[in-house]
Amino acid sequence: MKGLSFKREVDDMAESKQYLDVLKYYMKRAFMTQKENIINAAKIMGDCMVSGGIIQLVGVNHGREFAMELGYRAGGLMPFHQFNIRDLALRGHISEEILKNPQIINDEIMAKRWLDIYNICENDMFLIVSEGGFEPILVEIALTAKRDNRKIIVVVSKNKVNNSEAKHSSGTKLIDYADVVIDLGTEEKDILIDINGTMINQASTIVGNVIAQMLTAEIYRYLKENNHDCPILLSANIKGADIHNRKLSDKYIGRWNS
Amino acid sequence: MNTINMELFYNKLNDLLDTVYEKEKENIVKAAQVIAETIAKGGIIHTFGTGHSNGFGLEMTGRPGSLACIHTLDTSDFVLKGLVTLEDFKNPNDIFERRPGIAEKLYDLYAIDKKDLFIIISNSGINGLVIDMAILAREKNQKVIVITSWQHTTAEDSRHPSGKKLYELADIVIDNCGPQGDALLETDGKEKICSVSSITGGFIAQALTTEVCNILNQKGIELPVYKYEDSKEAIEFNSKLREKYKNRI
Repeated sequence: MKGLSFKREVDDMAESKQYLDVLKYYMKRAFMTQKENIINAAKIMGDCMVSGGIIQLVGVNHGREFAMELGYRAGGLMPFHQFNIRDLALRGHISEEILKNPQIINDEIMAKRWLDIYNICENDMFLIVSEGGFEPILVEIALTAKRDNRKIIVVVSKNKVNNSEAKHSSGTKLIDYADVVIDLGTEEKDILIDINGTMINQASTIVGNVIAQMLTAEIYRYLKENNHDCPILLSANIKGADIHNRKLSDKYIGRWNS
Repeated sequence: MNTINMELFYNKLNDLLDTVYEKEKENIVKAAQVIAETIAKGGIIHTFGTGHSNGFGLEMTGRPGSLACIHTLDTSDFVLKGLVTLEDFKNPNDIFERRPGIAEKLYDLYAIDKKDLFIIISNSGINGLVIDMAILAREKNQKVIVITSWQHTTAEDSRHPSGKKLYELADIVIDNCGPQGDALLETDGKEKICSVSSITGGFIAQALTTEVCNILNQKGIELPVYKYEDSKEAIEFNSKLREKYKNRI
């Protein structure tokens, strides 16, 4: 009898199916509405790669997932570098306590320290991910990058951006610095399934990952259409993968975290 | 060969997600049952994976609508806690995670309780460290749920001295249905592009959350889920929740 144990019938998996349907809804929304933005962004990223530049991927908290999606993996492209705020602590610039204080994302001065630990080169560009697009540390990075005349792609949830106040001292948000804005299309409050009054589950990070891969496909297409090589990283199980990948990464020594 | 573009990826991914759901819904439910039991007893769920697989834990916690009782093991915590220098940790001539005893030392870094449970994520399931962690958890009578790529793990030999693969040490295995090498689209070269395991893994993380919450709710157990902080009550609720699992997550 139900209720006396933790057993659950598979056919009752109604809520998980509902989640899958909701996720696919947001994936479809991203695909249908962001095609032009993704293609434009891919062109800018492809041009950056051809010029020897790296795309600097910046995100904090769950924005990190997008950076991880593109940063050095089998089936991915080489010229990406992940900003990881954890690096500030790992490299001894800040304590674990400061790292784990949620206020760190409000610290505009920390942005400069974060930029300084990486070797960012002239042809590099930025891709910054944030649902709300208002974190002061991220806005400061965008502001700095724009001052240096870099291309910036911003991935946000426009619903959330439009319903959030700017928090940076300048009153600006990430989208104010973007050459291209890609909209995740998720809601201001990204919680989706109702279990007896408690809201659970999110879509924004998975949709972000899907956008990241759609960007990868479009960068490939753009580079190939323009007769360029596409620097794809091989999976370790493929013969010669180590040598192939090393050849790609040697080009950027000192500019990316392995 | 199909033209590589975002539409091709989008269509193939949709099919793949349907495959994951249909193929693995039973295993997801079984895993959710064990996870729910653990949570009901006051246990924590520890996630562990090397490289990109460690994103699974991030998907599963840390924001409104997520379970609070999730902790992620991370080898860079050795550096964060000052036990190893960053230089030593990244030494290419003595790969950190291949050094003997790392699994035990990593396990001992955290306050892990014997009633806790492990979710270990690895596409290939052949890497020594994840297998060592699974062995360790089993020795301590902790349940192990494994997320792996069936196609990948059956195609390669294990690198562990025992010859075992991660899935062989699992109480429950969930296939993320990724292809060997993780990349979904074939190009005209030998490379494939567009990784999928984080996406299908992310879906599995979310589906597990849904099923776990459903089960806990049916048992009348309050869901240890962070609320959206748009009221004083919600902020207090989250604060109490963090306090409940303090030092363990």
